[in-house]
Amino acid sequence: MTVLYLFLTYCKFSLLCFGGGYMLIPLLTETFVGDGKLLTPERFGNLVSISQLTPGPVGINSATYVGFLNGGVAGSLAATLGLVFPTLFLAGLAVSLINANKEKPFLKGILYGARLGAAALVVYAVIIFIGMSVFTAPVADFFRSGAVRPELSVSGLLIALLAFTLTLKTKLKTTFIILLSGALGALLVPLIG
Amino acid sequence: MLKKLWLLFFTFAKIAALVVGGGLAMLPVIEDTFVRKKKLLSQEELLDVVALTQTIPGIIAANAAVAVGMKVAGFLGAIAALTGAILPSFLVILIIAWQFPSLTPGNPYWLGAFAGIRAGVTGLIAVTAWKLVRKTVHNWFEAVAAIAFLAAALAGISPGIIIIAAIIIGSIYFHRTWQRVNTAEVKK
Repeated sequence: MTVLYLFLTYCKFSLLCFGGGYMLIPLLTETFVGDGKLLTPERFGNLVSISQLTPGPVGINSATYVGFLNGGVAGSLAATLGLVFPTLFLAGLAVSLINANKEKPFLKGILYGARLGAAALVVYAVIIFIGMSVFTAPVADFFRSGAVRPELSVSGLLIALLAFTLTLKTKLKTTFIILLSGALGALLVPLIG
Repeated sequence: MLKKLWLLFFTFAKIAALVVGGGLAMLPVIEDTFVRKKKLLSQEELLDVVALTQTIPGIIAANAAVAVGMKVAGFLGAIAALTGAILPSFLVILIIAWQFPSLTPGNPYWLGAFAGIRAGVTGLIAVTAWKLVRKTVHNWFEAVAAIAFLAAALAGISPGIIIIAAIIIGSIYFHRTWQRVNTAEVKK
């Protein structure tokens, strides 16, 4: 029973989640946290901090964690598969429709526009990432509300510049550059902030 | 075929195990592996994947895995990539939930490593963004439209709405230009 409930609940989350895992957090709180529900507030807080401190998508992390606490390994599998099950069909269908109609003018127009929008969103992602690493608080939030004044993180700036230069000027693998950034961060961040 | 499936599984597992930051943070590794090294995707197709991940419901990592897997090796490819994308997090969280249900990690070196990876990803994704923009923006219309979409994103409008607006505006421009080119050819 719990296993089926977890699977269906996470299918629903997947269909309601537009644009990234952090959209899920309000849904999770509403569904799972509270009296007589699956998670205590402390456990929910733990889940959020574990998600921020392990790699991998926050949605998957939450599914595995909530599923395990309430239905063991079977529960965590059910919740995790529930979260990706609708995607397999929706994204799969979208790609096969695109592939089948590649030469049709209406689709060429659609893709032409979508690519322009996507390029702009990748630039937006760069700005968000600068706010999460080179500064200590999101820059966009500062512009919107002026609430937190972001401070420059010296090691963040150095590592970002190093990764940028290495990617442009050398043929090093991106995964190597990511591991190098992690090692430098472990050394530099505790020392110089 | 098996080689492609393994490549899809392994690349997405690597991304899930290493890349901190979520969402489009995975883009540089996808670009490096599937566009630059193996030439299984074009830069345009990579942009199609980005647009899809932002408009279809579901978590971005799963959307991207299914879209890339499907383009490279069909439905089996989608399953291989998706399995890779969920397996590392699934195992890590399973162990944490099982062994340390009340864990609150606070080791400064661990936190530093994560901050370092986020900073590294910032540098990587800046290079990817530069390549994709150079590939997409060739004229004044495209430059003005891209800047307007970026401004909309910064103003807090949701990415799905921006892609839909881009599709409408882009289609109108595309068909007008296309028609003009066609009529010019007919007159000749």
